[in-house]
Amino acid sequence: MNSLQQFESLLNCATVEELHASTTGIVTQLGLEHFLYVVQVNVSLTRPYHFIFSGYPKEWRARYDEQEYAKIDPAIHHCSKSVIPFLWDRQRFSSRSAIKLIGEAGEFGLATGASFSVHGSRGDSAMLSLATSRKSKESKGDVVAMMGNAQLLTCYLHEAIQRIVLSKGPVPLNAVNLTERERECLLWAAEGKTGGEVADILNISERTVVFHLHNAGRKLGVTNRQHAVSRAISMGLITP
Amino acid sequence: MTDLALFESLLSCNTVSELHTRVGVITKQMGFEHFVYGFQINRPSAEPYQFIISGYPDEWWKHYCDSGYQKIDPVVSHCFQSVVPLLWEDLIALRPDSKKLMNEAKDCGLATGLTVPLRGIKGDFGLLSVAAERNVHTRKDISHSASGVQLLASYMHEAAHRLVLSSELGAECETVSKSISSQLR
Repeated sequence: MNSLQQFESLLNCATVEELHASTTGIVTQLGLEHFLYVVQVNVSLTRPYHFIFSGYPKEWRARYDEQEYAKIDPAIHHCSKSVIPFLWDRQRFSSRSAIKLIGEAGEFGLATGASFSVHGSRGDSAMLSLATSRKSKESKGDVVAMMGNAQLLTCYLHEAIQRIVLSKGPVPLNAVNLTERERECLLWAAEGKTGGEVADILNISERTVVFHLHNAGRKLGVTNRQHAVSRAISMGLITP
Repeated sequence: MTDLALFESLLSCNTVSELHTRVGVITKQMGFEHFVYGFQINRPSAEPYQFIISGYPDEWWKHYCDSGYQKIDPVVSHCFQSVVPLLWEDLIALRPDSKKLMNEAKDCGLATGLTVPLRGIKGDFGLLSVAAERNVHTRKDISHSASGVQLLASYMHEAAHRLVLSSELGAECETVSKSISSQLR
């Protein structure tokens, strides 16, 4: 694979099915068999929205969920804290449950692999895992050799999913552009200030504060102040 | 040494200038004489904090900063909108001031280039650009380099994060960044 063109084709897919077929083609070209892309969007502090795009064996996905492996998977932990790839090295699966996880993954045809992440600016973060059933030392070398392309694939796939799924989904992932005033009002509301207090701090009238909070709520797709604050925080629009 | 080992070695840099030097060596090996890395962190009630490592020609970089080009740089705006790489020659429909910027860049030795958008783990914005002095690279060559540059960007960001950005909000960081920019000058 020597061109961005192939990745760019992902951006032209109009449906999830089409995207799945193109992704499968690229993954095969990279010399791998399985892929799993998961994106989480923090639209709410308690119930994030998930979208799963799977090229994993069904049986393994079922087993993984049943055992609640997501809670202990070192790849997930790594990808939430870092932007560099995570190679599935045995020594990185050190706890007893993680050893069981990587052992079972091998039995289900995911013996060698790596995980990649991309964190969007709207509270969305995604992880792509790629795997092969081959166990040899060379297969690990192959995985290492394709890491740059895999990281590219992660970015293109995320952009494609953004276009055909997230922007049309139930979540307000269409760019939420808060004005500076809206952001300031939300920030002080998050600090527990009343409308009157925010007005004093920003040197504007209380009516104007209400106006800005109302507009921010409309953009965020919520109808009350607390919800606007929590959604803005979970989407990373304001930082506490 | 595999590429990956080369990238991983960035994580053991102890200073920003060491990181600067090593990244410069890697991008040269890839066929690009110049690079720039930039990252910004949004802060509540303050201007975003920016951290930049410039491996661009001094003359151009000074001109770029003095002219406030960051605000009209089409490469920068691409990185705010997208997470996929940009080949500079694919830029179209530029505003006149952005077009002027790209032409001036060419005159200053940045004939052709590639930019990879970066996102921190909290979605903060960043980028790594690499540029070549002469237009010897075909579109295919540059496109071929994208996977390496993409991976380099991730490792460089991780290294920069460990060195500087993890304490971005502390006053400590301001001092660090000031001493870094003076080091680089």
